Amino acid sequence: MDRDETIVRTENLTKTYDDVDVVRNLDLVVPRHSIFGFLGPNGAGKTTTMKMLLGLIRSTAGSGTIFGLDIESDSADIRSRVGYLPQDPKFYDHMTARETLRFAAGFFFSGPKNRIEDRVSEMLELVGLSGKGDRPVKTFSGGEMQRLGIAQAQIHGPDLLILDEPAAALDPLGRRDVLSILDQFRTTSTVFYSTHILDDVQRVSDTVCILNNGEIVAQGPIGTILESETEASYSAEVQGDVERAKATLLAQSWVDRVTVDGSGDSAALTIAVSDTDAADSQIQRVLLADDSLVVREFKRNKASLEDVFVDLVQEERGDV
Amino acid sequence: MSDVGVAGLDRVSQSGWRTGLSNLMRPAFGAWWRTSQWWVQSLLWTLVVNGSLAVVIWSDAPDGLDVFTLYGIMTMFAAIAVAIIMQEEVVGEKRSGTAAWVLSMPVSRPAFLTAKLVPNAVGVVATMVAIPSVVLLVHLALAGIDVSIPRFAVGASVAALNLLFYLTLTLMLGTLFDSAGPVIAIPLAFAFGQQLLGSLPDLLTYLPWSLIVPIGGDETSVVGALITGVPVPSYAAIVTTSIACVVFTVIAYWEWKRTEL
Repeated sequence: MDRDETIVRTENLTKTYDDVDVVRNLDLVVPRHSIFGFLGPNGAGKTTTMKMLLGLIRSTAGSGTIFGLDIESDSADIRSRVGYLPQDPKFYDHMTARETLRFAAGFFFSGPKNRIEDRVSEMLELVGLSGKGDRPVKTFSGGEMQRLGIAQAQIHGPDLLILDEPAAALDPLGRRDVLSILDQFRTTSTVFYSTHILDDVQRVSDTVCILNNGEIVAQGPIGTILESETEASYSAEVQGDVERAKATLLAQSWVDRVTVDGSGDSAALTIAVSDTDAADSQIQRVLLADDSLVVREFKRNKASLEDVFVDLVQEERGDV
Repeated sequence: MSDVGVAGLDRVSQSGWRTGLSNLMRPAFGAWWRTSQWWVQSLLWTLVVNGSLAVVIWSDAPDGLDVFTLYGIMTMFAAIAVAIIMQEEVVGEKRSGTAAWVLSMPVSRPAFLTAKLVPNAVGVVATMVAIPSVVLLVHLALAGIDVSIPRFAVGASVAALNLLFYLTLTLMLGTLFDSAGPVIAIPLAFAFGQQLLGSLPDLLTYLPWSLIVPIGGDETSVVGALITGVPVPSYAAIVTTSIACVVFTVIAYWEWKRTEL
């Protein structure tokens, strides 16, 4: 990937606490204008990585750049172009939402008061807090804090948004709103966000990185990861001589394995294949060549990100 | 920066250690001067200082030395208030996560700490020493007690130095600890523990205690002596307290720079 097209790049980024590597040799590549999902179980090192990128904690080894600037020596310049939403956003209790946004805006820009107020109002509108702008943030619910957090992160129109679990405290409607907001950022910013909600990632992200025990176990475009990390397979529900159908399938060079679920003359077959092109063009013909066999249902199985995530994480733990 | 939604606004151009400083200073000064804090503290310390001194000032034979010795002692109580006011300034923000939030924006760590140190130092000195002292001067004038204003200003400055000692100590402890307990306990224990060293007047000569309390049979404290013009028992505590303020501040900045949030 062209370096100019890469917003975040780390090389062997490592963080160690008491001789334990919380993040180990991380080589992240976040492309420009991507909505980059940063996934991993609790304690995988996601928040630590984000904080290292922002200069809130120092790396033990390795290096990193954002916009081509060094994350340690150019941290303030980087932060002037980044918006950050912490995992559990906390703001000054005595300030209202509007004052919080005004305060955050003051670190990035100055200008006519009415223009700043317009920008503050625009952000409150964006996250659905227009009617609550003058309420002290100490009265806000977790979901409202999360929305305010997104508003303050976006107040200066950053080139990169780093969002730590942006939808964690939200109800399903709130989550839908946040996903829609993230989608709007695609054209103007790059979004680097962590989450546990894999359905959301599959809906809005184009690129993901799966982290486990501080190490990357998969990284790249979602489609590529789904293809490379899962075995291609087909499902067929058949009636007839199931054992003969299984034997016929196993005789094909592109079939790896056939599992049969069911008994008697009716069963569900799961057919794992090594060559999807060959399978796509021949598998149904092979089954239908047997006149006595009735194929009631047939489909190519699609792996979900959740399947891939669970497989990769369990593989690392040695569960499979 | 992206142009989206920020047309008509200029990018803030502070750099280096001042990055983010002015935006932090505004609310920090505002917390003192745009709320009730300033007049509540001013009224409280004006009443404490002038109320207790009234007994001496309006006695049959008021003695300047007694008045200004007591003046120094009364400012000791403000040291407790300083430790209480400062205890949550850094630790509270570390624990709540607001420090991490602020420092995720273009803000330098020295700017963050400066915005804790300067507005609080100004607020403390103004409301706990300057304003009560000005009222005290009026009070003394009404009672017909003569006082040299320049000498009084020097004495009040030394009383303020005692408060700055506790302010910088608490600030430093805030950067070193993650809970409020030691941050408030150590300054208070130090403030009152010094009197237990009464049998060691040579040591007390170097401690802030001797700035405001007479020690080892001395007639008055450093503050009392400076205001009344009698010979100052020892200037050592002024030097050591000033050095301690600087050392505490340097340690606080050094520690804060390497604190992980």
